[in-house]
Amino acid sequence: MVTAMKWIAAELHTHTCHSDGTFTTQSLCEAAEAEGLSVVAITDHNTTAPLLELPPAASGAAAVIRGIEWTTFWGHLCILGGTLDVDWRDASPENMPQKLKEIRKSGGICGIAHPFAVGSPMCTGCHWSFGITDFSGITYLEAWSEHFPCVRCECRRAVDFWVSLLDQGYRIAITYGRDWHGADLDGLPRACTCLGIDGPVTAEAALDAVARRRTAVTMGPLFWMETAGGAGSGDVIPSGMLELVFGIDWSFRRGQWEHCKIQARRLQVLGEGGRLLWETAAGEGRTEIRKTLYVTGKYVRAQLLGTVCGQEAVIAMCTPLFLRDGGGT
Amino acid sequence: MLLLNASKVLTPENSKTNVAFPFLVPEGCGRLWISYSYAPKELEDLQAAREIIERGLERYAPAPFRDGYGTWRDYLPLVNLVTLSLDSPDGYCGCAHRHDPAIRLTVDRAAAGPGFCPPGRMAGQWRAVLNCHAVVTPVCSVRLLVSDCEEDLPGPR
Repeated sequence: MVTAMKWIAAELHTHTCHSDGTFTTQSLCEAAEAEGLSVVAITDHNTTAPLLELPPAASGAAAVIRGIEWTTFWGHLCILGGTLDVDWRDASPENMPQKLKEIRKSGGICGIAHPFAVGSPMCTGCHWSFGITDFSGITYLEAWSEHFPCVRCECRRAVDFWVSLLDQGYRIAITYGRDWHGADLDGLPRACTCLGIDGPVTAEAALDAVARRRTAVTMGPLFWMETAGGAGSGDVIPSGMLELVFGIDWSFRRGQWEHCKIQARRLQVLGEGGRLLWETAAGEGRTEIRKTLYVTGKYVRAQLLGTVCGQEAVIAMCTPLFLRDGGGT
Repeated sequence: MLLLNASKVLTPENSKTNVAFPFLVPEGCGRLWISYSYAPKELEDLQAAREIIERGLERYAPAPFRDGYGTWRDYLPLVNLVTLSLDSPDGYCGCAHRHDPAIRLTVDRAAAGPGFCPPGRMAGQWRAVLNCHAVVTPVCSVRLLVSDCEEDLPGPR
């Protein structure tokens, strides 16, 4: 493998008893560690109170990103890092562009949570209804959320939405958000967000990975894409002839997903507008696949298709390599 | 001494609004006791709930996605959600964003109830803000009390 990056598992959307979760701050960190998550973002609804209770960074538990979930009347926005002190209560469709600027000015990274969930009054504010047309203030989109995201309708719509934003030139990372409120005893398949990190795993490094769009989502094996020259998801590179390298690590958190009987069948490389650039077989025996392609447009991305619990699904997706000449923000 | 004794009757028109109640905390106050409750929690009129949910599904899950979102019964019970947020003289303290319709908590400079950060100072102008996320019942009565002593609050301690 050419990569110098370490890919780690993260959960970027969680709650504690400081809002409507059942985890304590401590038990959340322990649950994350028990599930092989190296990083967890605490994003309680409209409060940063759990962040006053963080375990020491060297405690051996998962590294914690400080966050909040703005649980507004028109949508839920996860904010990671920064001062987390912009007031959510007066956020409205009219002033949301200004609010996003304020959050970014405060050092925060913004991610839209579960955009196609059913909204008020069934799930208050859960559906993204701000109606913003400029997404340059959005760093990531939680296209997959909660249980069995690879097949649920709202997540498929969210993935389509993410792709439409990529096609418009927005350089937005894909993430999964478990929206983890407490111990899940249902055995349903869940995913994780993978972050490409340089150096030691710290909250700062994880935050930097999200900011740089070095993300992927997976139902099971780690799946990543890079160039032979070492550029990876989120990087902005010139278009043209590229030797692409795809990695699949079947040992990655295997105990968490083995019961879901995940099988990979095909690897697809996609360009702008849903254009299929290349496709190849990708069973479990394959751990590295190389292909040289001539790529143009705004981006090139990859996904792994297969089955989860016997259902056909996309089982992993990478944030694109963005192409400089294709434009984008 | 009661610092705030407020009642408010909310209706569905109050959904997606905030209702603020300012109150003054005097010098020397070391702790606030806050009691907050609203009722009813659930919309028990099943037909009314069905109509609201089906309107919502038309909006959030239009064709061709409708079948992927289940049936109206999957979204029962339909409930009111009114949360409480607080501002101290130093700014936003946090929020009790949970579904429990009756909450008691204390706030002082060393510790605060779940969802709230201890304020830098107690004395000065505060605000209790009702965040009316959803009011689905024809009326929803809210009661909010803030005191500098526990004895002023009703109910179990």
